[in-house]
Amino acid sequence: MMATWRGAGLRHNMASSHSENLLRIEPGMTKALACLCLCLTVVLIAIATYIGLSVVPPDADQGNVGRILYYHLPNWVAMSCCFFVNLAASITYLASRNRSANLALMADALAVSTAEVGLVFCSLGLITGSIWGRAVWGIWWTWDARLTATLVLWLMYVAYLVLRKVSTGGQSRTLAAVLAIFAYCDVPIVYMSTRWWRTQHPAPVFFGGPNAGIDPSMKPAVSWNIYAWLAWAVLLVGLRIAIERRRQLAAQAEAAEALEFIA
Amino acid sequence: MNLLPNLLSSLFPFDARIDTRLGYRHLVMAYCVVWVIQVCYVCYLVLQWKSAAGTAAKPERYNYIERGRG
Repeated sequence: MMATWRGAGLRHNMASSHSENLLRIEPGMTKALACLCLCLTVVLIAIATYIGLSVVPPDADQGNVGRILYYHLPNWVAMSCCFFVNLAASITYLASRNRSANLALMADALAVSTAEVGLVFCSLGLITGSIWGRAVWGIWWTWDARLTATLVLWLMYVAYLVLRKVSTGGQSRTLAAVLAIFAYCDVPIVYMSTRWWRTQHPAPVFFGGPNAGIDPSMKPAVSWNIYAWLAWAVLLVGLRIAIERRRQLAAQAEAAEALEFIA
Repeated sequence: MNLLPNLLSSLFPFDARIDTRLGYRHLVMAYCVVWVIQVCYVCYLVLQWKSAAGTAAKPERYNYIERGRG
């Protein structure tokens, strides 16, 4: 019964030549484009790392260990962008799942891809923050509001990916999309935590008020690293989407064959 | 044998007047951890890509009953 229901939707999808064009991947062109993007991004990251380590001066208070900022901050920026796109894609999936199967599948692929890549950046942000904290504060971890809220955020996106991995029912994508919306509610709490509570984590450096901010000499390293790691995040999300689309195509082909067999 | 320490000292700045050994070790650790995890994730994605390609390239006549899925 389930196979027939899925197959009915599938036949509707495959009847449209437009949708077939959307699903078709040109292997040679995609590979060349991916290689070009990879090379450009790696060069961008190399330049950003060089600027962060060699061009800008060390931090006046912390010395050279303050250069961890140039990898720590871009991780959070990339994570925030990924989780925001995940939220938008999840809402799009929920809104379009009964109207446009292709759009829903595309939104679902984008949602799972951004959640996974965002989780990688979130993990790296936690790890680099912990390493920095040990060198500057003398502790690896403390249960302050910023760190705890971030850990909760990390756990929620782990739960999202586990749900997608282990759930095999027809509603798993819908449940995952709803969970993603709930999980995103923690992102503003993480961002505002240093304003709302007194934390071990420093007060907001960016957009933190008149006395906040970084020295102008540090700005090139911060900007280059943010752009470079954002480009890397886009590349990873693109690759992850391609994998998910391949899986979706394979699943559609399997369902179509099953239908043929039954008929 | 000294290749790695030399490489690290040329890449990561150290100034004995303002830096501690602990701080320097942690600076190197943070940058290396980021690269190791990112490279591991890319390897994972490449494996997933190959696995997805294998799934997509199954023979056309695929018998579900024989494979116990029917």
